[in-house]
Amino acid sequence: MRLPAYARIPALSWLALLALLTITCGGAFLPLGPFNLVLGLAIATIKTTIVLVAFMKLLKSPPLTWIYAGAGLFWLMIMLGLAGTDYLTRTLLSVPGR
Amino acid sequence: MPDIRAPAIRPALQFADLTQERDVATIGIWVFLATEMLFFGGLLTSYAVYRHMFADGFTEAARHTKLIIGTINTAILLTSSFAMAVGVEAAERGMEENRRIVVFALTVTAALGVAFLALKGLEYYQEYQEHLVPGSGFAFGPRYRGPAQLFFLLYFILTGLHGVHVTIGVGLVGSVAAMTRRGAFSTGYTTPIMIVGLYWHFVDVVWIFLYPLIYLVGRSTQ
Repeated sequence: MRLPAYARIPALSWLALLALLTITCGGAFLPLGPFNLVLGLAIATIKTTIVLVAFMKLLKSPPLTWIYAGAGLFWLMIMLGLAGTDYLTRTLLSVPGR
Repeated sequence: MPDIRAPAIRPALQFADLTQERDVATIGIWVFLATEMLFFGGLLTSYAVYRHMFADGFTEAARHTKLIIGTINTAILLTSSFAMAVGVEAAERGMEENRRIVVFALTVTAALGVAFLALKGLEYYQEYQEHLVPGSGFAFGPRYRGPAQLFFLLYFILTGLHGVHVTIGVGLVGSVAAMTRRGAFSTGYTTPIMIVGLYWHFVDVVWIFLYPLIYLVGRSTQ
């Protein structure tokens, strides 16, 4: 069976996404300690990349869209990064008098 | 080549041609999606902070989420994105000859969205019955009550807001399906289908991140 041309890339991406879903779900039951979270987020990032490139065709979009997509990610990283420098270090560093 | 200056399809007044209109629309939806990233990002930041502060309580609470429903729903959304991508691709390659497949693909996308919401509703009902909704009578004992309520509060807000987005998406996809059916688009002009597709895929991406953060926590240590 040959798929019509318009369905080929979506179908391949879909199979890859379902395979990654199986891996992430199975991987959650392996005793990896903190790396369960790392594995979960790493696979989510790979799945997102597939969706961005194959389904949303970000690379074929006008280059200005890369700036907006990148700006969203950039400010998200600022929010997570600055929140992290506060809350993550509260438990790592001792505060005199407390 | 379709003649994009044919009288039936004209760009809006402010655009030189349909390609420019399409590019501007693509950039516009991405500006909106960037704000959406930060909208969900704020909640995910709260999630990260509280999970770091109450790691044990979050692990304990997350084990009570419905892994099977969550996994099936992830597969449903990924499949709906596949159907959406087929619809957009088929429309762009030739609206006239592919009209039926486009309508079919968009209808499948919307139907899978409805299936997702139905399973989500079933999940909420089970959680309600198991006293996992924060408030009086919450299922957890004093040791983890506070953190577990925080987890489920974030769970209901995050999945609830995501559900609102899916509901809006079903409406939008259903609308462009109906418009395609009555012939509102042609080969040179499929921009609304593509724009709705970008929104739909983004909602899928949000779920892709919610899935490991909600359903896969604490599964290896019970």
